[in-house]
Amino acid sequence: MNNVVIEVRNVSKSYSVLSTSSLAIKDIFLKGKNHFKRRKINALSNVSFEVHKNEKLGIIGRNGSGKSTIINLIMGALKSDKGSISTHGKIMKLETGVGFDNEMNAKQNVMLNSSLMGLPKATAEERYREIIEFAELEEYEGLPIKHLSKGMKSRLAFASAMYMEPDIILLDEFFGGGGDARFKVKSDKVFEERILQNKTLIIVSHSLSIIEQHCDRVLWLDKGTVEMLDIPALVIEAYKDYRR
Amino acid sequence: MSTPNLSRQIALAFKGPRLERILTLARYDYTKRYHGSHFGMIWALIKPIFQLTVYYFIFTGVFGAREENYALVIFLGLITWMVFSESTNRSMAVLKSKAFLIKTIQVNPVDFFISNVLTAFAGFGLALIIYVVASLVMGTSYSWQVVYMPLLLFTIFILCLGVSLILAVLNIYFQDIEQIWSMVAMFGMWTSGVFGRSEIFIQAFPPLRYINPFLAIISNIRNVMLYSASPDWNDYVYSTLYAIALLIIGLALFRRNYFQALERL
Repeated sequence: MNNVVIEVRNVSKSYSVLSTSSLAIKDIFLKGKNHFKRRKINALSNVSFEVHKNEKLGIIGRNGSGKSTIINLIMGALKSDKGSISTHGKIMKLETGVGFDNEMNAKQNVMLNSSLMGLPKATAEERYREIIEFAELEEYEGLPIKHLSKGMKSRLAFASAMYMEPDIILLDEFFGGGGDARFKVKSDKVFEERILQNKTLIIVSHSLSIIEQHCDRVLWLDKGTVEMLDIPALVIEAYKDYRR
Repeated sequence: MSTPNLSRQIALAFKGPRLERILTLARYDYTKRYHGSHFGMIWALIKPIFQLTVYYFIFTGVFGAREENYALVIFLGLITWMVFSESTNRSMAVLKSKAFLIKTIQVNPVDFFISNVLTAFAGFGLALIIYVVASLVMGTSYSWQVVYMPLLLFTIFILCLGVSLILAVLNIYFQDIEQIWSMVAMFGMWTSGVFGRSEIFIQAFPPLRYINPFLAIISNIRNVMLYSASPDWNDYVYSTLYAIALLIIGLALFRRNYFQALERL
């Protein structure tokens, strides 16, 4: 395959953490130099990989291995210290608990997200109906999102990603959109039709079964470096051995 | 990587779908401001009417101001200052309040600040309509010089955006910046000629002309909206260059520090 939509080249990222969360002006005068010491935490070292159009890439690794950091770098919500990342296409990330303004209702949130995703207003209106019906939230339409349950919010986020048509979807420990068994069947179906067949997908998950079921290749990160990148069966087997 | 090229932000901002996105954000901000209150967006109309009525009775009825249409002089000065004050005060919380979007959708962060300023301009627009109606009722006439108003609004817009970006960056590193800014803004309001003609301030303290660009801006707004005169072009060029310089500094600082801000969200 030649059509690369995400290219990560020799990327390194560290976080410089200040001993205090934010400085008050008085600290500059009253506290010593040590108060401002920074600690460096290496999150990624020299990571390289490519994702092709319509490919499904899984990312696995233990906590702190750099999975979310690489996702945020691809999103453009972080900047790498070294290396480069290039992306082609509209990206949307799904992560439990983020993506919506809790004070606004479903329509206001969906319309805002649609606009930022580049959908014209008329199209966004049409999509909103599909989204709200798919998420089965018609009777909660006027309520601020904060009054919806966690599962309802997940359904709304999942439905938004299905119908807003991003080119690349990043799932960070988010899968299926929640809901009961009946909703799961429905969401699996639409996921199959709308995402698996014609979208690029990166799934970050601790669930190896989800990764194995949906991904073409798997990237195993360990302590911020690429441990292995190959077909799911090989990487998952090696990862299971490593964890034993 | 699709990192924003901030030096071209302003030019690009007013092209096609991006403008639509910015306007959607501004509409969302404006709606959210009055969200949950009983009268909703009617407050946006009631507030300036109430302000103008209070000024009229206090300055004309109680203090017996000798200057003609003194309530209008103050109202015009105050609503102009409020655009700056509102947009800059809110700018410090812009990134935090939009974290839910930044974390899930690729978006140009400068758009949040542009929409924040536009939201303040929307309030200004309503207040200006109230001003025009009130001034016509009070017998003020308008001349062709009103056509200069967009030029003056452009300067205010650039100034608001530049200072907003600078404050947003300072707010990353110093938690006291809100307190400091409230004092700076108070100094700014009392020295920008909101409550009197700018000449009085310049006579009393000449360097003020160069310290506070709002002295020139408010004076010029009154020229075209109240005195049927053209702007003072020296003042206009000076305040616009001042605003552009601050915008360049703001964009440069923001470009250098934006990702650090995101790491702290």
